[in-house]
Amino acid sequence: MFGFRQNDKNNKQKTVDKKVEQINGPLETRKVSYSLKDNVDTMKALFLDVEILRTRTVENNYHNSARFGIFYCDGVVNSSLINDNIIKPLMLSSEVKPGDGLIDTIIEKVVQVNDAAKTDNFKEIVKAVTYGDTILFAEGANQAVILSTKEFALRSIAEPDNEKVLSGPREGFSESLMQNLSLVRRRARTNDLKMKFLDLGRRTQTSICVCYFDSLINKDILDQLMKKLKGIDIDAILDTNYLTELIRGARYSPFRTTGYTERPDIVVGKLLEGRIAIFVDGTPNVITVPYLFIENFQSNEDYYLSFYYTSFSRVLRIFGFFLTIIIPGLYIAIVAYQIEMLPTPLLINISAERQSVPLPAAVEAFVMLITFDVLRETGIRMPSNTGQALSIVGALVIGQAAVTAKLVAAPMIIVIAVTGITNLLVPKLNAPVIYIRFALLLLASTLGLFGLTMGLCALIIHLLNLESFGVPQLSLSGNFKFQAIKDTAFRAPWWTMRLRPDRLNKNQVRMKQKDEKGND
Amino acid sequence: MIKRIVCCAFCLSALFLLNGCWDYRGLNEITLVSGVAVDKDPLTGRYLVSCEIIDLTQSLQEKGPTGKVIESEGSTIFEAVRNAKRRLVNKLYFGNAQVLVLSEQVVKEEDLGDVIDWFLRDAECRETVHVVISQEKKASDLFRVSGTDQTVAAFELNSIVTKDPEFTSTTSPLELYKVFDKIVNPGISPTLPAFHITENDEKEIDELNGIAIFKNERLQGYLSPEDSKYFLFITNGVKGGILPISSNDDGSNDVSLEIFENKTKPSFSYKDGKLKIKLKVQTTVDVAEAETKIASSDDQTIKKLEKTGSEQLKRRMEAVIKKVQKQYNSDIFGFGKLIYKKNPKLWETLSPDWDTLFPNLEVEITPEIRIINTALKK
Repeated sequence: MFGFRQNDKNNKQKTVDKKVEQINGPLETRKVSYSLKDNVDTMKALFLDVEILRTRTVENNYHNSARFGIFYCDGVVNSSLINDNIIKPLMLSSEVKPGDGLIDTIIEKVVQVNDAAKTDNFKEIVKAVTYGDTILFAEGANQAVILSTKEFALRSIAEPDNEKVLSGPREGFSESLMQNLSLVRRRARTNDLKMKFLDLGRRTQTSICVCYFDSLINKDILDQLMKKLKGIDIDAILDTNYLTELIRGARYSPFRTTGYTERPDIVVGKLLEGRIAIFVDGTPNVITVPYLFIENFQSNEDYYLSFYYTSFSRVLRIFGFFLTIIIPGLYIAIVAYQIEMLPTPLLINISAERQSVPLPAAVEAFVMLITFDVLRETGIRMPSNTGQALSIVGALVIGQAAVTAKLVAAPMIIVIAVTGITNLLVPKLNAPVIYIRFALLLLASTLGLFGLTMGLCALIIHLLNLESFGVPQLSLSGNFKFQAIKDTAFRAPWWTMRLRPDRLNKNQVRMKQKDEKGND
Repeated sequence: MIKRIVCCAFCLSALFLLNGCWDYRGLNEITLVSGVAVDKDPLTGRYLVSCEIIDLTQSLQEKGPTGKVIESEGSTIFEAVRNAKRRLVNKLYFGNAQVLVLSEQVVKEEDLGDVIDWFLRDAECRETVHVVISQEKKASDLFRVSGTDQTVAAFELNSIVTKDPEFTSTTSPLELYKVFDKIVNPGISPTLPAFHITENDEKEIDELNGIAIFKNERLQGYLSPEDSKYFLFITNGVKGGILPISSNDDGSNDVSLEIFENKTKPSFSYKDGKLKIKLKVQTTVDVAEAETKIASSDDQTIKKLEKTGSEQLKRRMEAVIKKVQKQYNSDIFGFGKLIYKKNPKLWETLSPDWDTLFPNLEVEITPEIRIINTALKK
């Protein structure tokens, strides 16, 4: 069954490949011809049934033989730019003379567009024209000019909903790659900030930008990344997560091995620590690699607020992670196996609550956890104007009514509530937390505290094994020097953070030892 | 990959075999025992075990937890405990039992070590259970009286016993494992807190009533709460409480000294076949109450008070030692243990005759009361 499917898949892939070749093949070989008519016909054949493509023929007022074909896609261009800076000069300029060098003359003296490039390749032409560029063919020239006339409707720069801060920059990325890069560029005005482009996705030809500080990164990591990116052969890239899953190591681990953010300040911060950012056109999400485990608990606000305050919340987040995975399992282990561990008054209260409850505590925990996850998922997927129904159902029906009706013991509600709340403390660990929590609960309800401990050991072993582009995600190697732990469970004040994270780069000095006054 | 998974599955399944003492117990499948009382039927010689269990059928919100007593009989204690299941839906759970009450009769007829044996061996029972003696007819009578703060009598007994040394110093609480310790150790006899029922506000109530004295694991008699205090002074067990003294040494107490700190250092000397125990008592107190007019700020008065207090303390301690020596001949003070620890060889020669040596043992007490504070009055 399985083998057959695999075969089927391969066959399908082959037919897809063939079709793609049929479409792309002739284009790749086709060159721009000297005849304007030929070129126009080719374009029309290529864009058959693509009725968004607009054509325009222009004739120069001084030389009737100087004729031009203009192609652009409606909706992605700036029409006034085409009118005033391309068509008008082409019609009115006396410089236009048919013959050799016509294309160069046009680029240099006639059209008034900032970005103009020659090409004779139809593949490039198709790519350009679908992305909002205007293509100019000239009679008697075997080259075409690609003129940048892009203009799309873009979402304005807004603060990302899932990464809100109390203080600090509020800009967030949008769907436009160039706009996103501009937000980063503006924050780091140095030529050391490199931006490398490549196109991925056979159908979508999505622009990908790899961005890094040349002097800060580990070149091995960059090589490894570029190799992986270039090896990608996929139909479409619609979001960064396509890339994330394609380039990451430890593919089946639920833990992240790449970072993601929608905020330019975070991206620049990560770049400055020696990481590499990958931008994808069409999505506000940006990947940063390598990714350390501690980044799950870091927030950009940590660096903008007082280090006393943020150190406390950092500890809370780490604590929250452990609580949210352990609590249901711990509760079951103690209540069902290690009853001795409960103080007497607590034991009396819990067992009084449990007297008339039908389900065993372990089953109860499973049911309630799944109920909570259902509520959470509904909360995310639901249209916001029906949100009130959910909170009523959640709070009243699940919480109070279930206890009053003796379906669930009250302590279980508290356990689930604490689990749920602490879960929200570490949004970046959402995926692993769900699975680990259930696994630990299962272990605890079959083997008690012993099972829980075993499960936690396995978790730590897994975490220690995780690597992100060759960098260990979690290191317990005993490097307890201050500079190695300055930004982990607590955030040290800025004046002490002299070195960059040592696992990421070689160029570590972030701050010189002495300031102007000669103080240390 | 499949090989790996199978390997992991085998390893994980081995975990189930590696478990020692474990079992899934739903909380609604056990009955919580708060205290155990052991009696012996004088006619049949069978044990009567009464367990106070937490009554969870009533709502906790109104009254808090309340206790109920389940009685059962058996030829041994464990049999009696198991027989209780015949009267109960759920199994008894002893993990949170806080007191073990023994009736006078049981410890007069049986060795103390034999009575507590099951509780020491059982996996569920904690070694930190407090053992007390009931001076009532039946040990379980103590459970039938409702307490003042807590509706579970066993919890109330437990808190009375554990907090006593801090506030009144009239008994020495003893956990199960320490009882065993005192039984097996040479040169010391155990003492246990004693309870009786008394009247309070026209209702019956449990009251801590001094200590019970054992010898050779059998109950011999009691020390009153007043005497118990001086017993604690001798054994370095005072952690607080009141020391009433008479300011002009006429026998009627009129000054209360509140004890902050007490340290009793025992030592002994053995010269020419004569054994002498020395106790150095250092007590820090303040004047908490003076029913007579004393100039508290006057150094002379304080000095005088310290001196008379020390003398009275010495006299009372000596009286208690005398009483125990003559009346019970039981080394509850652990003088023998002191010798055994410092000089085991000497103890070897002394121990066979300890029963004849102890009643005539000379004890030298050097008390030193220090008043550090006279409270408000000047």
